[in-house]
Amino acid sequence: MSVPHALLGLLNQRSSHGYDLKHAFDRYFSPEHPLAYAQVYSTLGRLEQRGRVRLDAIERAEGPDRRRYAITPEGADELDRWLIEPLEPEPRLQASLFTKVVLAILTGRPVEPLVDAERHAHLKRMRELTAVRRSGPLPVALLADYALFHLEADLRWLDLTAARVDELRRQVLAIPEGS
Amino acid sequence: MITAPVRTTPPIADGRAAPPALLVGSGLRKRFGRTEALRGIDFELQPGELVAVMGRSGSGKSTLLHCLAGIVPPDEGTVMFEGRSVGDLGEGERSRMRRTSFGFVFQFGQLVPELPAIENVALPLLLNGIARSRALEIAAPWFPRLGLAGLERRRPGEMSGGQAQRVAVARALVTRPAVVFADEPTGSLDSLAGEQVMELLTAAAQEQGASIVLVTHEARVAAYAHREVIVRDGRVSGPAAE
Amino acid sequence: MIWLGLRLALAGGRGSVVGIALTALAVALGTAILLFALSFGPALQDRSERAAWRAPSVFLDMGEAHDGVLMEVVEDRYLDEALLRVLVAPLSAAAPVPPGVPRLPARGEAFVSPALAARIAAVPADQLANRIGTVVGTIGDEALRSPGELVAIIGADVESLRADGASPLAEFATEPRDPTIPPIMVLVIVLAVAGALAPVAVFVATATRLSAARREQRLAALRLVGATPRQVTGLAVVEALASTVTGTLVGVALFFLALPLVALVPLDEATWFPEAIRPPLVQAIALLVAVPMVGAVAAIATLRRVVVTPLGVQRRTTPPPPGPLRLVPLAASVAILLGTLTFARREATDGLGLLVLGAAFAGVVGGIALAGPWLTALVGRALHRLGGGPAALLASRRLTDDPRGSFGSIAGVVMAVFVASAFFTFADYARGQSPEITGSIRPGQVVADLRSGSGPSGATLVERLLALPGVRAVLPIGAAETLVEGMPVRVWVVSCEGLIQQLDLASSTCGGGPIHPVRATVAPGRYELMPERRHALDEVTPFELVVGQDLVGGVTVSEELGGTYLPDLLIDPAAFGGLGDLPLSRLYVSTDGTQAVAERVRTAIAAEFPASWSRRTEERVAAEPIYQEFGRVVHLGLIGTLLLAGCSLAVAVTTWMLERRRQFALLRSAGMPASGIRDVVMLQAAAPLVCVAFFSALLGVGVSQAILRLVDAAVVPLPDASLAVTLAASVGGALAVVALMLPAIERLTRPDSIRLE
Repeated sequence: MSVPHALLGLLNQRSSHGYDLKHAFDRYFSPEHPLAYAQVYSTLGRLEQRGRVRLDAIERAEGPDRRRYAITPEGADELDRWLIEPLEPEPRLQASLFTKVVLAILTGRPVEPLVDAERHAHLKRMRELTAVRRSGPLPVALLADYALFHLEADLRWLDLTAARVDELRRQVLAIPEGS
Repeated sequence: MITAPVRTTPPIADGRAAPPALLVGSGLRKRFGRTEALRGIDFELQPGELVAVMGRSGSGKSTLLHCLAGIVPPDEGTVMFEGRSVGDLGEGERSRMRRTSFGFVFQFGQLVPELPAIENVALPLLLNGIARSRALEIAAPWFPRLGLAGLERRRPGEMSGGQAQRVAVARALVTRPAVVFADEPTGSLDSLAGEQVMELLTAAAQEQGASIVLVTHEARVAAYAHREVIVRDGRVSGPAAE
Repeated sequence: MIWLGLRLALAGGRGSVVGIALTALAVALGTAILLFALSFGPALQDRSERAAWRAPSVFLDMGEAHDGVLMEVVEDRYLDEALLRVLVAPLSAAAPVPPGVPRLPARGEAFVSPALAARIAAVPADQLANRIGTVVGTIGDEALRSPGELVAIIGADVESLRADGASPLAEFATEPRDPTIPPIMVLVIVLAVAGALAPVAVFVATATRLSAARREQRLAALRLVGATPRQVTGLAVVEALASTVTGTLVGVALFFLALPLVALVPLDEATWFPEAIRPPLVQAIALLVAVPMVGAVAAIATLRRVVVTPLGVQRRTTPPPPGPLRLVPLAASVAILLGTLTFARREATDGLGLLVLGAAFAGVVGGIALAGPWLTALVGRALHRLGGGPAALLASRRLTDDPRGSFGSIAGVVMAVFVASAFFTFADYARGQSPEITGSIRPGQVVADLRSGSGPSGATLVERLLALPGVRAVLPIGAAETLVEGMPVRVWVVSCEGLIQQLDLASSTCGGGPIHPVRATVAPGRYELMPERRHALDEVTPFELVVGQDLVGGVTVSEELGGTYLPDLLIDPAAFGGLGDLPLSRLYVSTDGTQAVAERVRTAIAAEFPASWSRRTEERVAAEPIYQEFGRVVHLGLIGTLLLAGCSLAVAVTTWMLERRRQFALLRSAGMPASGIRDVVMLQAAAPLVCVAFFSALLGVGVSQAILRLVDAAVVPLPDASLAVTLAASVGGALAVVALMLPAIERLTRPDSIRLE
């Protein structure tokens, strides 16, 4: 999630106050995790330093809320570039689920109950998200779908791991210490 | 975190005892040759409930469906439907039970290619002895309801996979069954078509008060259910209903 | 390429191997049938050649050199079989010798066929041997018409043969005259073979379809992978050739295996020598080459779809239904058939006319095949409109959705029914044309025609006959001829009462007076009676008869004569003062009805009068037994054809059910009872079969009736109930074969028999 670019995009639409920016951001991009005001202002400050946004007007009132920001041509260019450029698929070789499975093996605990518990939890969450998807407006539904697909991916990995647990156990226990 | 109203079990009015389960399987065991497909499974289905049965290929979930639907008798254990033991019924009576009280949706290949869609839907009614004209009358409203208006006279070979599956859903529900058994109903469909089918199936079943036993390996499809049952190596694994 | 083709063909699993095996079997049957058909002509020719010597054809003038032989052929019977007694007497020492024997038998000697020798050895002499003579040897096969023929070459007295009017021969003929089978019968036999082959062809098509779907997929997959259309065609040809070549070879083996059995099927009261049933070599080779080629061509033709597009058949859309235009060839053929007979009747009996008729008839048979799908669709629509439960719905939809496929499997039955109905009508007509020859009405009678205008007196014969145990009465008749008012009338000199009693004409009476006109009117006057003569050269002395008014009596004969022959005039022997010198020409002998006594009577008569023929009441001998035999063959052919067609139907229905296996298994999961499957299968087979077979039978009877009425304006009776019974039994039989598949179908569509995942 690139907060600076999201703010640039919102400013491209219209110049706004920081307060309005935060609420717009929450509504569109993060209904469940509202952005902190501090983060909004610090991001805007950095963007201003780099010349991507400028102060449009300062209304003489209390506090930083009264600043209105607008996008600059450089900011518009950067927004264009960022929109076109594809995201880097995240090739992280690290995940909590995986950690748990390996730890279970190393500590001699059975893997299957762990996998089952994770599966049930995932499905429960998927049920909730499905209800959201069916009852909400389309933008919310699409977000829910995004989460659902990822949860499904997790589940598929879980199934595969459960199927290979014996072989995994053998190989994990054979990795010598210190490598 | 968004919380939308989610039902894990159908609503029960406070103060009353839970209603008796509609379909109960106890201690089900089934063996084919040297393979034990079911090794002691218990299963319960409440009226109006939607249960997903999940598991890998070969886990025994289709055998479980066969036993619960009275298609195949278990080697051990009982299946009770509406309080009566299915195993006590003869072959003919079990057939009759299936065609009056149960509906079936399969992954593919259930529609007769020579019959137009409306006759395919009417087929269970005809099997129950209803006169043809009346059966077609009963079948007709299903088409607009499932977004198939105008397709009544088309053959299954002349429609898309999603449309054909919706016709199959109509056929499963046309007799107003108490339980619908769905075995991978979206298995041959793309995501959008699959969603449509699940939406319509669950909505129509809910309208009629029918329960659904949904066998699937897809989590997104299982997410339509009130709860899931995982079958592995002929047994139910992990926590059952919540 | 060949190896690949064979490998692919056989690797398709049990289903495709079964398909190939069935195709090979059908081809084998067809090949064997065709080989027998090709052998028919040569076999007839061979038979005619073997029997050629009995037909007198090379005559001598009586007055010329006397190096010939006298021969007379007497058609006798023993029990229920034909017995040929060939009386020979040499005119000199250098007389010709018939084939099959080393020399001419001397007087009292005889050469007999092996079958006759066996009979003679098995019964007392007075029943058989005495009318043959002393057996001095057997006749070789080359002179016998059939292995079981009863023939005797008997040495006779030259003078008595001459008096009998026997023909003097310079030599025995070796070339046969024209075949005794009329050309119309040849046409009919050709059509019968065609009628037998049609179900075989249908069986081939059905068996091919069993593995067609799999084969199409296989070949389409190869096309997708990059095989060229020519390569794919080549593979298909190899596969087709595998089954047809195998089938052809098995067919040849079948031909030789079945030969001894086929040789036992009688035609014209004679079986066949197995070595005579051989197809001409060139034609046989041509056949063995043509059959696999036809198979290859058929394979290519059905493959067109896959060769053109590698995708084969992906989406099943309903093909356009067959239109009523399909009736046109059938109607046109019927019109040509009837038109030719109406307007060109005379030309219709020669070669070209027969060809046109044959082609038109074949056109009718083919027209049925063409119109069949349209009729089937019609039956389907009617069935659908009738309403009914799920079985009727499924069956009717199947018929309207794929009428070509549905009809294909019953095509064999339908065409066989048409051909058989037409033949039964022809056979009934033919049987009516050849009345049975019975000598008299009462059972236990033997009637003999002594065929002797002069010769030994019959009085001793009568005494001898009366002395035989089991003989109750003998009525001797002298046959003569006279002129009444310029018209010749036939006269029997016999006691009127005796005759009426003998013939059991209970409601007839003899009036007074010794002269009884039956059909003539006799005025008083002087008449000359000429005794019946065998030969124009016989010297006969006329008898004089003076008829006075008081001599004319009467006889009223009631109408129920049936087949009994009566002369125009009966005269009591008393008018001549006893039979006396009037030569005997007929005898009616009443016996106790046993076969042994009848044969003794016959033997006694034949011993005295070698040229006589005699018949028993119990013998129902048709003048042309060929029609009855033919009817028997048609019956057998119909049964065989319908069983074969039943197999086609069963295979086709099973194939269809297998293609719907998943649908039906899932329907049974959803609660369709097992009886539902049974109803669908049987209704889908029975509805078109019964309707189209009925239509076909009507057409067959109608066309043949129309032909007969046009050819011979006589009223042709409608076929009796036996046709309906045979057809009903055949249709039932075909359905029974289908029902045999039911357990397998039920097992294959059990709800748990398919993997659901």
